[in-house]
Amino acid sequence: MFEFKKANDGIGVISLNKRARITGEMSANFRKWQETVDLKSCSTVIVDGSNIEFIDSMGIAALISIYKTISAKGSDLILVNLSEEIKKLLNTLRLDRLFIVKDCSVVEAIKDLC
Amino acid sequence: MDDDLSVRVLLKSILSRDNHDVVESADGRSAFSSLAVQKPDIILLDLMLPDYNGLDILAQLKESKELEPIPVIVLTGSADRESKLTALSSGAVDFISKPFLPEEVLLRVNTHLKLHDLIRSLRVAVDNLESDVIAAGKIQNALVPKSNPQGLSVEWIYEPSYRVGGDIFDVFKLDENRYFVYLADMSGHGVNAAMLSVMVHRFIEDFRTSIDEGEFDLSSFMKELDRNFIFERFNLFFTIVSAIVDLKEGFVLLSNAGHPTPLMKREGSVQFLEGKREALVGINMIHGDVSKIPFRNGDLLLLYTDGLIEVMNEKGEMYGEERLKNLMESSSDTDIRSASLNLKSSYEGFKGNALAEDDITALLIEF
Repeated sequence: MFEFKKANDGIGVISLNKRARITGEMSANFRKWQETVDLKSCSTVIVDGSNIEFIDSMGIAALISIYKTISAKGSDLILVNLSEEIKKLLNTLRLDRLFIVKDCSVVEAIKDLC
Repeated sequence: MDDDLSVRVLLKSILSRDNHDVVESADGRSAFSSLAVQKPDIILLDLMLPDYNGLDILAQLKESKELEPIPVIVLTGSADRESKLTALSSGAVDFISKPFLPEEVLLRVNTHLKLHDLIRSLRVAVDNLESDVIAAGKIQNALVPKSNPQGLSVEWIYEPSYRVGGDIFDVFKLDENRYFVYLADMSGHGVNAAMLSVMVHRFIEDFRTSIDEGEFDLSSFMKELDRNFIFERFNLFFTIVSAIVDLKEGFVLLSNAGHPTPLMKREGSVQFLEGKREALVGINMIHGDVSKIPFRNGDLLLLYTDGLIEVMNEKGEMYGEERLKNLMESSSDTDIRSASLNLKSSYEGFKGNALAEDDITALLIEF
């Protein structure tokens, strides 16, 4: 379900291989999964939201956890391709001030960084 | 149970060699007499007994609350396919065809004993967990108010999605004319969230008692929460909306940390109280911003958790903020109690038979 790929310059990309709601058990799985991937060595982590239909508070906690893991080394967490609903949720939580939310594709986000 | 003496002797010898205690019965009547005295760990049942049909015995065993959990392996003739299927669909766990090999008997009996033991331990574990969760739910429920504080008109809906939930709230009197209200929502729901909610409640109680009641400052309170519940401590966060209602001066001081936007109904029109919004609690982003909102005679304030606006119907649509605003606007409830009942029946009607995914809490405060 969750995929992690390393692009150029140590940029890590997290995506979902099919459309899903990150809620309930799926959120718990996301949390466990992100602990198994090597995020610490990433210069930046990009989460591709194109397959994320909705995300609940445990899913949000998993995103904060990713942020906490990488921000200790000064790396950014960038979220792209998010639905309007998820963007609104991030705004309600004011997490759009902690994460970088961009309206672009993963490829464009990587190009911007390089 | 088998009417054939040679089969019983053979089975007893095979099983005794593997240290199993065996009680034999040649017919149904003596089998039930033995079962009344002692319950075995497993039953081997011949389907053709002189006084009973083996399938009837199986049905009787499965109907008895005490005997039902005992696994039953049926003994059948190798050609008797139909009986094997009927026995399996009637609750037998396995079958052994005659003639049998000693190894096969031992393998099947030992496998089912192990399996049965595992199921039994699992049941005990689930029962224990269930009673712990019920106890936790009772503790959590004991923390939310049971009645209105004197002088303030409040109604609430408090519905955990499971036996325990991640929502918590409280209302208490600060002094003659001022009241403090908060509503918090822990990330997730279930035991982790419930335990954090109890800690948050406890912390707020301590904060309140540690200062002079007249000195309760909303801004310091929110900053203190942010300092004490840092995300890394529990790997959980919470959102909270807290308010000081001043009935003498006619205003509400409101602080909203990542929580859904409260609503105010005034003279028939409903407004979202966007105001200054803070980030969720625990990521060191609360600055202590407080909004001051007029609160006068007839005004109605609604605080709620996201579980309310995220109630989903069977089509997968959400209840949403707009529907909530429209409901508040269209209702001509004369009292706060019927406004609360109206809200409850609105989202329940919308939800239909869909499952509740999140805890739902709503607080209505009327001037």
